[in-house]
Amino acid sequence: MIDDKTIETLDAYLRNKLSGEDREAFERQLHADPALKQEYLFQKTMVDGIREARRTQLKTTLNNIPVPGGGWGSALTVKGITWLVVAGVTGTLVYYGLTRAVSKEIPANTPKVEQVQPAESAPATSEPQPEVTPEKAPAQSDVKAPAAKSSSNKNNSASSKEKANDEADQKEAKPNIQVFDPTTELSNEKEESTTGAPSEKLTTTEKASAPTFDVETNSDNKKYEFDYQFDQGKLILYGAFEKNLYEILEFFNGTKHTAFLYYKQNFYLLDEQNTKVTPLTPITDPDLLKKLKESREK
Amino acid sequence: MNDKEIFDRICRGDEKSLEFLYKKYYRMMTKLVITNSGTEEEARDIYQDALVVFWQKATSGNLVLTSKISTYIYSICQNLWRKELDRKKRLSREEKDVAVSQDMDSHERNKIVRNCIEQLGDTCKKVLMYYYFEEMSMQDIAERLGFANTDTAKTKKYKCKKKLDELIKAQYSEHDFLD
Repeated sequence: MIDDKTIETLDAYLRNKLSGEDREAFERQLHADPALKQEYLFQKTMVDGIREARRTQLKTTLNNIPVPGGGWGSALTVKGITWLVVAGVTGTLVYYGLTRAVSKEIPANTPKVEQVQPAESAPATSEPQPEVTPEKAPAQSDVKAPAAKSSSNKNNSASSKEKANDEADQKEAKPNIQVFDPTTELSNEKEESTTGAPSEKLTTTEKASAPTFDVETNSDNKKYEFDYQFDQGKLILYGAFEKNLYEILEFFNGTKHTAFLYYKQNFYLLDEQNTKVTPLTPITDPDLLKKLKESREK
Repeated sequence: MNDKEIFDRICRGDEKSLEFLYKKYYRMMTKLVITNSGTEEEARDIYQDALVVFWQKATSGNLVLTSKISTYIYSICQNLWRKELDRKKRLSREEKDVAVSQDMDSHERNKIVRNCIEQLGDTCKKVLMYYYFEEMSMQDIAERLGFANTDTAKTKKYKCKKKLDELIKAQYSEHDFLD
C-alpha cells in the first residue's frame, strides 16, 4: 500500500512540479519499488488521458470557428486575380509614363540646362535620381510608372533600388517635373550635357535661410515613423524629428525648385508633388551626395 | 488588442482570446503547411495543435514570450509539420504491421481512459483538465468554477480523481490490463 505522501509526490512528479533534487530522488524510488512503478504507470496513463481529452476539447472548439475566406482555393484565386490586375495597371502606367516623359520633356530640355542626368550615371548606379531629364528618359528605361509604383512601393520596400526608381518615377511621369540634378549643376564634368553655366546655377541654388514652404513635424502617428508628405504646400515630416536637428535644402533655377531634407547625416529627396505620405529614402548616389554635402557646407 | 493584452488574457485562461488568435492567423499559419506539401486539412490540424501547445504553455505559466505571438506560433507550426513529415516518411518505410501490433495494448488502455473520462460529470472533467492540462492552481480553479475556497477545490479534485481511478480500474480488470 502506497502512503498518501508518496501519492502526493507522484502527483507532483506527473505535473512536473518537483525540483531537480526531489525529482531525482523520486525516480530512484520508482526504480527501486516495483509497486510504486506500477502505480506510476497507471497514474501516468490516467493523466495523459485527461490531457488528451482537454486537447481534443480545445481543438474541437477551434474547429468549429468559421475561418476567413472560406478556403484556400478561393483565397488563392482572389489573390491571383488581384495581382494580375495590379500587374496590368502597373504595366499600362509604365507604358504611358514612359511615353509621356519622352514626348513632353524633349522640347523643354533646351532652355533647361539643369535637366541633365548623364545617361551613364542613371543606369550605372541605379541609385535614387531625383532628376528626370528628357535625355535621361530613354536611358532610364528601367523606370516604372509612378502611380503604380508608389502603390506597389510598399511591396518593394526592401529594395532600395526600387525605392530609388520610385522617386525618379514619380517625377518622370508628371508633366511638370521640376526636379533638377544638383550633381549636374555643380559639376564641371564634360559628361554633363548642360549648356548652362554650373556656377550660375550654383549661385541661385543657395540654401534658403528659411524654406519656401512651411514645415511641420508629426511624431504622434504610429503608422508612419519616417515619412513625409506635402499637404497644401506644407511639408509634414512624420517621425521623431528632433527640433533644430534637420535641415531643408532647396535648389532653385528659374521656375524649377527641388528640396532635400538633411537629417542625421543623410539626405532625402522631398518631392513637392507628393501629396501622399511617402517613406523618406536616403540618397545614395555618390555624386549627388557629394554635391549636396558641398552645398550644405557653403 | 495588442500582443501583450492577448497574451495576458490567454495566460488567464480566456478561451475567447484563443479563438481570436485562431481566426487572425489562420491564413498565415496554414499557408506554411500548404506550401510545404500539406493539404488544407493537414494545415488546419497542425495549426490547431500548435495553438493548443501555445495555450497549454501560456496557461501553465511556463511561457515567457520574447517575440511576437505570431512568430512563436509559427515556429511551433514549423516544428509540428516537420515532425509530421518525418513520421510520414518513416511510416512509408517501416513495416506497418509491426508498428500497429506494438501499439495495440496502449491504444486499448488509452481508449478505456477516454471513455471513463467521458463518464465523469462536467465539473469533475473541468477540475481535472484545469489541474492537469492548464496546471492551474487550486485557487484559480476555485475562482473559475465558483467553489467556496481552495480547500473545496482540493477536495473536489481528490474525489473526481478517485472516481476516475475506480472507473478505469474496473474497466482494466475487465480487459485484463491489471497485473
